[in-house]
Amino acid sequence: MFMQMAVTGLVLGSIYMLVASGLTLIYGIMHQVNMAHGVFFMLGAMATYYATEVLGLPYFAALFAVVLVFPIIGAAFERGIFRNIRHIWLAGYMATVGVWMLMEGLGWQVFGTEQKAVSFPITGLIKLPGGAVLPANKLWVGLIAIAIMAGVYLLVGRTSLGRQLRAVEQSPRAAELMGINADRAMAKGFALGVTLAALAGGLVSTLYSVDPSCGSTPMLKAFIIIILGGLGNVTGSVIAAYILGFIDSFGGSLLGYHAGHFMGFGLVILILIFKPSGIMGDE
Amino acid sequence: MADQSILRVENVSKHFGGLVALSGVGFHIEKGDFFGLIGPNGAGKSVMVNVVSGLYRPSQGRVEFDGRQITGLRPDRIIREGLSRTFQHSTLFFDLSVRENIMMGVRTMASVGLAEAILGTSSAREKDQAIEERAQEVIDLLGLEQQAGELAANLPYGLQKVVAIGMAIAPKPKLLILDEPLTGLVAAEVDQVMGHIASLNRQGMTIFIIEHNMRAVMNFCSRIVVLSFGNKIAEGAPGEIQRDREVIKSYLGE
Amino acid sequence: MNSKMAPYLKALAVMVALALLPPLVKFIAPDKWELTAHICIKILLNVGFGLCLWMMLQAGELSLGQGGFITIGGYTTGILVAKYNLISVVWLGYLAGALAAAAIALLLGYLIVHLKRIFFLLVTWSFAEMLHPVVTSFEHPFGGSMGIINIPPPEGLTIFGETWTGYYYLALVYGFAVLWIVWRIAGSKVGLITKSIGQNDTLVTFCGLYVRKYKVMIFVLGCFITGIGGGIMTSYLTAISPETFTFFTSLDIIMFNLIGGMGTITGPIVGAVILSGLNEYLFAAGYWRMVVYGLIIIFFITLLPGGMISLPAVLRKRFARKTKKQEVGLG
Repeated sequence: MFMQMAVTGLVLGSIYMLVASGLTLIYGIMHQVNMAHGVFFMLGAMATYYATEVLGLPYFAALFAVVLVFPIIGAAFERGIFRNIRHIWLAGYMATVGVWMLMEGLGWQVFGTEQKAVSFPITGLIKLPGGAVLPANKLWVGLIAIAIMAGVYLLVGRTSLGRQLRAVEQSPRAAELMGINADRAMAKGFALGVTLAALAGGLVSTLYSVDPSCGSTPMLKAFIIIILGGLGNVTGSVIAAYILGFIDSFGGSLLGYHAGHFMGFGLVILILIFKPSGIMGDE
Repeated sequence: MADQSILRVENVSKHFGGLVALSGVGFHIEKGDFFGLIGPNGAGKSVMVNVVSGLYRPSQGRVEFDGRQITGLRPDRIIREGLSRTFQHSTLFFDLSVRENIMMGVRTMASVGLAEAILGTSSAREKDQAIEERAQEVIDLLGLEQQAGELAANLPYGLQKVVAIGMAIAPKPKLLILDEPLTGLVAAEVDQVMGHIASLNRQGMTIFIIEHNMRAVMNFCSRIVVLSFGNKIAEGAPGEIQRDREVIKSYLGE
Repeated sequence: MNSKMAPYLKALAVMVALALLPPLVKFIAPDKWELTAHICIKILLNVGFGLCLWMMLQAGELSLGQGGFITIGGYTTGILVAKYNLISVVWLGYLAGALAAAAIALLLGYLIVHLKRIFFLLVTWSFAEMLHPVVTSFEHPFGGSMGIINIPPPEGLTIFGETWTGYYYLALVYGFAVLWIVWRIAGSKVGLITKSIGQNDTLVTFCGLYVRKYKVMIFVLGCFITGIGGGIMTSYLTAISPETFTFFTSLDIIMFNLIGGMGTITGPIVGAVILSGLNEYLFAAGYWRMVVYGLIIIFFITLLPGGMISLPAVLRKRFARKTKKQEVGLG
């Protein structure tokens, strides 16, 4: 049973990692928490559903379409909405709460209230060494998520786009002096972040059925992960994502469905007790 | 010797990761001194002030204030011991009035309780009155009567710095640390501010000033310490400092 | 002396007017009274919650978890009074609820008040969300997904006749009591400290004040008062379940302050009245409610950050700018 829970933990962790790293990337570059992040997860799931079940596209083509389309949607959002709230004093991120409310509400109107599920092209069970048995879609989703993250690491570490993003993260002004258009880099960073969320949504739609509110739980998990891993710290959020994945998996199997959430929260509290400055301290 | 020292800094070093901001700096300030800390940009002057006032914990060394160890204490504890400081950049409560800003500095504020505030007991009223009276004293002393009701944000920069000094002297500190109080001021304002500070010193307040304005430092300070790249390179009376070769080199060589 | 008394007199006048509302409505349109009472009770309790958050916001504590403290107050009252009959006096049940909320606020607050606003928001949100699975999972003492039912009204409420009239007066007293407390604090030196902390807590430290103490104090007081309101609302609803107070409860309380304005104490009152009234219609609209909420939030944050009470001043400035342009010959 241990292997079973461990492997499930890995899969969960990989999915959380996709959502959380997108969120922390956006914070790192724009210094703004995107409370509407869950909306993109939901849109990714819905888009995948419509592409496969309504338009009849094969699943991987649908995912590919997500990768093509969502950067554009993300950039449009950034240009239209998020750019304008960057300069608001009290809590620009509260405006993103407004965007979340607006989009989810519209989502319910447009997509309806029935749960939607996407079927993964590979079915059946897979036996792993150690005695774990996993449905094929779960295993593949985990592997795809890891592959996507590897791609992101390469993108951020090796490409010129990645260099631009890292420069703007360090200092937008210094980046400008080096000839980088900070505004455009931020738009690209945002686009990348929300595309990761959308991909996560597209993957999860094959595991669980989704409805327009499906984005809020992953987002809450993502926020816990970011608190644990440090705002803007992508590697930190990867590690924290897997920790939370294991907690959810072991806690869920041993203690019941909801155990994961309070254990995750409990972990946040423990960290606050023992390393209070570890979560960025005072303003 | 130790009895007369209000501040004793012993062998203080401060690292930030690999960056060494201060290295083995030591000096002492005696009661009644008008003490200056100078040095080229990046010398570590503000870091020194932040260590003394408790914002940073020194990586090494000790700080003693009025005979008591204050190394590593919380800043609010240190302030309550009788140390006051201003900040380099205009640091005020911008959405509060001048009067409210200065009231925040008064020592009695710390003793006001929640229950008595809600109920409006006589003890609360007494404390409120003491706070308001002391604030008025400071306002009169610094000539801020006209602006007392203005929002701090609406004041010209020079007056904002005066208000900041008002906040710092409101608790009648034993030691007043001024972190570059003259930056951004025009000549007339510089004279005004230095006039206030000198007057406070004449009345017995020990002054510790960090400044770039050489004329002010040399004219007013009784003793000066010079930092360069985190090290103390000279200490003495203004005349000695002006003639010190190391000091001249550190300023010209940058 | 006169200007000091003026706000007291104004508030007293409003309170007297509201106290006379039941007999007035019963006289004019007796069949409308029950509905009116229900709306007013909600508004008055919301005013209390909104004012508590306002007080916290002064100190820079943006809490998205107030619904959680309402839940704690409500469940404590319900458990002690209805489920286990440990307390026979409902009034003491309210007190117990408030103490429970305050105790948890103390533990949580001590750990989180120093955090950056966004983290404080996230942790309080996470905390409130976590309460739902906790109360759903345990049959004892929380009653699981069914919750707790048959919670009685406090003793003596029926002297006014029907329970809803009694609750109306109770909510009226609660609302004005909270207003008095928050107003007293805001006008005191403690209030000045709180305001300063919200503006620049580092500077407050250098004024010789231990910021964490004050922040925890305000947070605990706000949650204590909110806990009482939670108890009152729960006994008014006679039942509580995991679904009674949701994320929207916490969001609403923030929105009272956003819509009304956070600059003065009147803001959350105005906001509570507006949004509570609006919700009476929005409840039937299903998911359009979320859309409207989203638009409201975006509107106020981008265009009217000072809230409704800042509207006269904002319009005056706009109008003044326009006439100035005309004077100079540009308009």
